[in-house]
Amino acid sequence: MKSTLLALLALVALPASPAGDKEQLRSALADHALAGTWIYDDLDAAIAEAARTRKALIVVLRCVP
Amino acid sequence: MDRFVCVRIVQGWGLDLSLFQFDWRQTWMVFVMNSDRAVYGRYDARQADDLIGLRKALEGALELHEKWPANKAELAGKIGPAPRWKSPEQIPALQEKGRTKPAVGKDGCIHCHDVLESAVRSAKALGEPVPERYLAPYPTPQRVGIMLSTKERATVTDIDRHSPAEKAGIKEGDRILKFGGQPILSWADVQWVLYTNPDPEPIQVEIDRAGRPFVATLVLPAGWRTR
Repeated sequence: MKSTLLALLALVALPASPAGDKEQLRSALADHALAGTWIYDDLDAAIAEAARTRKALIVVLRCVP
Repeated sequence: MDRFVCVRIVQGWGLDLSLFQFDWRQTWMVFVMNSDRAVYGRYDARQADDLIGLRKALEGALELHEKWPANKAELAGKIGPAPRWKSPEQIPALQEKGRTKPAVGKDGCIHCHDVLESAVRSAKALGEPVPERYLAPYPTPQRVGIMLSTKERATVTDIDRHSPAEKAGIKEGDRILKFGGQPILSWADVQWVLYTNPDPEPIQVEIDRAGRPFVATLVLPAGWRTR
């Protein structure tokens, strides 16, 4: 029981992941267009995916109006 | 589109300004690049009335991607000179506005149009010289007399009389393949070369004219950016 509680506390104490931050931002902006295959506001993740798949990368710079 | 990894960036905070330099006045901008951070081309909102141009630009990007890295040298110029500030939140005028953290909603976001304006304001406040290209940023191809189709990568639809383009021998119908040695995918790519050109250096223009190669030399008169 104690070890489970400690594990839960450790999880709570972890900093939010970048992906989690981006989803929070997306929710705050109510920006749900391009959901699915598009990576949201995370260039490093997109570059890593492009390297993994050897694909070219489309970067759209567009604020939420 | 499944041949690309697609990402949308919604805020200026954290942008690598050594990589992302573009016409900040546009409402949106597309960069096509690779995982080595080499830029294949730019495409901007000005051409958005006709997305067939975007499709052709993307097809051109895939051609460049297939040639990578053998074409590394000719793509080098698509990355700009080292910026004065590495990212927007380091620009003093934006720091003064409190734009020092990532956006968590609409408030606090660094917008694209803020970047160049703030850089100019900061340079002036610091007593630093402001480059002429900052004061007349991203000259359009029309400034040198070239009108381009929005349906193609860079096909000339008209040439202004007595313009630098006419004097260089560029003609309606010409397909611009390279401009300043850089492969051209779009109007925005032509604009990029004009913006970064080290004046008064002339710009070499490689053209497909009805299937035959033609090379023009575009001579830019003094003061052409602000005239």
